[in-house]
Amino acid sequence: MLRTHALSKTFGAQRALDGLDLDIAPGEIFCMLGANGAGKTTTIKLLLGFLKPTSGTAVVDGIDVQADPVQARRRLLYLPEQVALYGELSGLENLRYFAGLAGVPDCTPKRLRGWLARAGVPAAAIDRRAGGYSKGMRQKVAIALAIARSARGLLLDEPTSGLDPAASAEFHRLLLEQRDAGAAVLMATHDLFRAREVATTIGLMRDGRLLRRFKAQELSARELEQLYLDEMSAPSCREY
Amino acid sequence: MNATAIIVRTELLRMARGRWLLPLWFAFLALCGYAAWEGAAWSAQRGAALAAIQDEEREVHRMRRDQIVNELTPDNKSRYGGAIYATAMSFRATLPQGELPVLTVGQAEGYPMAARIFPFVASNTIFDEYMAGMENPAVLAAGRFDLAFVLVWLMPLLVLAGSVDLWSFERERGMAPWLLAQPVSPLRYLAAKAAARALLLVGVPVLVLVAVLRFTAAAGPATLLQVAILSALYGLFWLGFAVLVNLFARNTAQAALGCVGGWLALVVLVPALALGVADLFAPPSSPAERANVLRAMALQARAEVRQADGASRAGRVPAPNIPDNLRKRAVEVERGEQLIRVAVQPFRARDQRRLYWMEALRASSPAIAFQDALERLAGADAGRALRFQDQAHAFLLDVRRLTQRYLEQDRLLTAADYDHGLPRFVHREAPPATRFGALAFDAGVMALFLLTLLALLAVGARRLRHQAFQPE
Repeated sequence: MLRTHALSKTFGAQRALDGLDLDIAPGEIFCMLGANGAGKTTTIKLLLGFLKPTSGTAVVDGIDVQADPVQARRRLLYLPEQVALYGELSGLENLRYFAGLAGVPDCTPKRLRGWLARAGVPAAAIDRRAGGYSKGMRQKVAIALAIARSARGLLLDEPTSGLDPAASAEFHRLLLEQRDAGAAVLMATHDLFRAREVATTIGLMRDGRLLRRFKAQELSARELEQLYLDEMSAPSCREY
Repeated sequence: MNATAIIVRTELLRMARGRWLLPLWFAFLALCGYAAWEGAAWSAQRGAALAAIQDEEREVHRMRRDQIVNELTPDNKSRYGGAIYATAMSFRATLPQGELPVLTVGQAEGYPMAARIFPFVASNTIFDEYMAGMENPAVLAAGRFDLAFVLVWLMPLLVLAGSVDLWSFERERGMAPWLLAQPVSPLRYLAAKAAARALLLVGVPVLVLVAVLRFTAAAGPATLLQVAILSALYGLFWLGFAVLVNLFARNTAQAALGCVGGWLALVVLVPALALGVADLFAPPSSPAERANVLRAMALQARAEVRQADGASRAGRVPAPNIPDNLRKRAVEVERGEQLIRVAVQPFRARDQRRLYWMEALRASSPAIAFQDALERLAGADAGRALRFQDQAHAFLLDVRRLTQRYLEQDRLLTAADYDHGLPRFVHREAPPATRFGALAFDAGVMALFLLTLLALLAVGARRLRHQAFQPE
């Protein structure tokens, strides 16, 4: 569903991504772990068509992102760290807007309410202006959008950063629902423990390269943390 | 409903819920209303002044006709000499107001609105009576608070105030990546947002303007349509400018600075610079210098004619119907005109050169082109005033030719001549094609600026995705 082949991106002399090969199948959650600047967000940008790769290809559901970025994005839902909504509009109106942009048919109030309810937005908040929503509530509206769109690929860029533990747990529950519904998920995160809990596969990234890839359940949380610290503190090949 | 319609509808909803739209509309309505009221007052004042000049002409004619009836003998001889002839051919040429005088005073106060046509005066003096003390120079320098001022200076501010955050809001709030990740191209997204703003920030003000003009002026639908199209073009240019600034600004404060800077440059600085350029390459002729030269020519003509005529002071016997001193005066005036025609050439050439520069410099800013178009629609443009002057001069020559015939035939005016034979001045407007051509040029300048902006926007929209992830 989400595939990259020898995907590279350089900014001037700096190589932000170096020959990344990924293949995320429907129903799979791939968590990218790595320090800031490891290339996680660059990967997401390339999959969204925001950046032009220096070399290699990014493919979404068989569509080359560079060739047809709008069609590729039609199959994707991108969830940034900060989901911002129009504060003057209610949660329902925001969802109707974004679902409309994505071409979701029959955005009746009844269906919109149903999607918001499935995403955990309380009924009392649905018609309230989104200007007063918490970050967790805004994330839920974004999940409602994913449900409405039946998005086949989810690109999540540190989605739970700054969420309180309860909201974070709720978010991951919703994410697993999406996975079970057949979505392919690529998530960039710093949260090792949540990553291990929800991910099917984990990839460790550094200096634009995917250093390791393994099944999430192969390691315990402590082993994952140790591996992460070891990989991140090891001298970089670029330092020699 | 397609994505464009959804963006437009949502943008309209957002703006309607914002707190600034209604105050902006009301402020514009109030400003337009006040300016139109001021314009109507000015127009009524000028209309009254023109009517008074025409009344004066009618009154003078009535008095002269009575004199002719009372003072001429049945065999067309003057009972009291020929002075009656000299004052009988007195006319006024007036420049009627345009179709939309409430729109702007424009350059109307920089040129005479009437001329006193009398066959025995030099052509350079026919406007003197209507030139003196025409306007307070301070008012002329500062400009008037008329509809043109509201449209050229203040409407851009309204459009910019309403669209300064068109994209910077999303960028500032971190919505940009989330929005751009939707399956809609950035250009389409921006175009739809701009279309919604155009409806509320350009469409509504233009409707307000047309409504105000409908109430305060007796203009036809075609003229109102022209005002509406030109105003809409100008408003759209400023909306496009705001969108362009938004593409480059990192936040609303930067966008506001860019918008205000652009407004200052295009509305305030460029027109001032354009005038400076015109002054540099085609300086205006000095009215004082011109008046002095022409007066000197008139004096020279008088001296030449008197010198040539010095020997024959004795009157003819029998005395002609029209005294010879009027013939001498006619010769003096004719000689003066010959000298003036030569003396005025450098001034005319300089004026023509300046006019050429001023016409060309219209293309330097949409604000200049728009102001020019409004002046033409109001009938307050320099071209119309100069055309009136030419027509008044031509009328003077007609009156002189007529007078010459009477002098040659030594025939005094009769009441019948007065009732049927005298010319009347009627101002002829420029042909519709010429007027429309000038307006089309102004509209073309604004359209060209707008198209340039659209081209830049089409290129600049590609920046959006790169910007989306840049830190603020």
